[in-house]
Amino acid sequence: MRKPGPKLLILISFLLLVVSAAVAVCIGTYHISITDVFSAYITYFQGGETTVVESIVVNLRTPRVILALMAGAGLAVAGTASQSAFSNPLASPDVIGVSSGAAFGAAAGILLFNNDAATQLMAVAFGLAAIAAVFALCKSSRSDSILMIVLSGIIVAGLFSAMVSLVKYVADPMSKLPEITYWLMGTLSGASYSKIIVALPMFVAGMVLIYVMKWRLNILTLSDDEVRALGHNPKKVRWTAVLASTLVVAAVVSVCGLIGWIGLVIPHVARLLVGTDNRYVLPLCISIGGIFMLAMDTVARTASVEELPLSILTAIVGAPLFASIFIWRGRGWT
Amino acid sequence: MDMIFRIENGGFGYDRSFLFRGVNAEIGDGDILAILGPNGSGKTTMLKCMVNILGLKEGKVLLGERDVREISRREFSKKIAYVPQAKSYSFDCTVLDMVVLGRSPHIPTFSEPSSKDVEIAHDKLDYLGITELKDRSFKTLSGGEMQMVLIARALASEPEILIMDEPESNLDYHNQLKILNTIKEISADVSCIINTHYPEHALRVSNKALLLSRGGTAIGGMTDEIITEERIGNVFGVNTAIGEVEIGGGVLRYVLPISIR
Repeated sequence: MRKPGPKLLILISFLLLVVSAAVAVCIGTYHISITDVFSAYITYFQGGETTVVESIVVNLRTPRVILALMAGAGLAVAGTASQSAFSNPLASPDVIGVSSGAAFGAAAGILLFNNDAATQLMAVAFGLAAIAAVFALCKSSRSDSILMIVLSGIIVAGLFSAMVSLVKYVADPMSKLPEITYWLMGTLSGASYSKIIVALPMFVAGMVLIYVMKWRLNILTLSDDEVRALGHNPKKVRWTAVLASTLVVAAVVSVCGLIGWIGLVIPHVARLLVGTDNRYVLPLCISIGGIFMLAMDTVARTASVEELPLSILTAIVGAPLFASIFIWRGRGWT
Repeated sequence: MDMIFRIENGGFGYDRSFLFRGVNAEIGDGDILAILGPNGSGKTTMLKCMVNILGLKEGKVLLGERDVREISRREFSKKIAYVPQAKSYSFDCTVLDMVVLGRSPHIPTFSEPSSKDVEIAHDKLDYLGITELKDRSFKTLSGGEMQMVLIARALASEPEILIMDEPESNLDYHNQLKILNTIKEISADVSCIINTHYPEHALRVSNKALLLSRGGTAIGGMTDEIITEERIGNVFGVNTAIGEVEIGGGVLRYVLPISIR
């Protein structure tokens, strides 16, 4: 089953990632050559006078590219972790209500405050509140079978979605409502270093946690009794994976809004290339997720005068991609 | 290895009733213990109590002199391996990867299998004579092959005792015998406990037997003394004839079902 050279594939994908990042910095309404990009960095770090071009490179496009990489890699990795944790190839972090929670937090933040940082923190707080609610529901039902976690997730997600609708209903249709709606469709247009720094600790913590347990994630796809017989507490491993994906998703959503499809599709693309072993799937998710997101965002900011919402693009590309994967896999689909 | 594994006055049940009670059994070096009983008599539950997935309500399971509830899961799983009834899996993987998973009790929490772990997995495939399966996808295997791979995975943790839940169920005639022979071979190094629906299989491979009945009582002892026409009749409600055939110096016994009581 395993295709020859998963390590080589991973290496190639990371080289491609670097190339795509470089290209993405060059492309835009204002085209900048790669040499100008490099000289912009050099001037910036030498602390000289910055020109408009240099400012575009350093303060606009670079944070945006970094954010695209974080979002793509993060959502893909969190998707893989969820799919393993729930032993279900259709799972994604959305299933347990994190995205809905964060969406409500951000919508309420936009409504109540006129401050990006406050909105971001609200998104993170309610993303975490959602997972806490799911955990509490499972605890009080004294069961944390996969089914119970998913059911709790559906309840929590449903509740938060309704509250998002409520916020939209009361929001001022001239100013706040478009802002909320736009945010709910995902965008990297507000990218800045300060936003990245706020999201970074949670993002890194979640990513590192998932990365070091990537082989253990393979074990989670077995039945709980088998996991126990192999010396692990399935609940502990599962909740750790769920919590780690929550951190990553809440961090990403708090900056970028809701971006669909990546968490579902990219893990499948990676598995198509290297099989199901998460030791190979996860690194590949980082690079492919990053490249995919970069491509989508570059299209989003260059295709028309107005920026296109990301979720529209990821769905337009992601849905057919997902369909072709399962047509391709055909019989092997599970 | 001189590890004695035993269940002392074991009882388990949900709510106030007991599924089984007063169960005593012991296995040591080279033993094979067969657990028999009708559907619903708690065979699988008994195994789950033995591997500490479920906790006994009464009595205790002892590994050496230690109560298994006092042993950490990881340490326990280095000594006792468990092969549950074959399940369907949501994700596929190669046979070799599946067997390497058996090494996990020996691999520290945030580490990954080393080349030595992979080597041990190879050894186990080799030991069971299924090396040619190693690159196959687990899901495409036949039932018999899957069972062999799961046994290899269990052996990869280098246990002292191997516990198998109906290892030969749902297999064809040939594969049933193959699994039974494998268990017999394994028992030279690792003591085995199996659940089985077939008294004949117990007679064939095991030296000890535990017969559970639906009333919750259990009788244990040497297989020859436990598997008798009378007891089979009482416990399963089936009249049988147990006979012998002499083959190549050995004696094989068969159990012929005659009628339902």
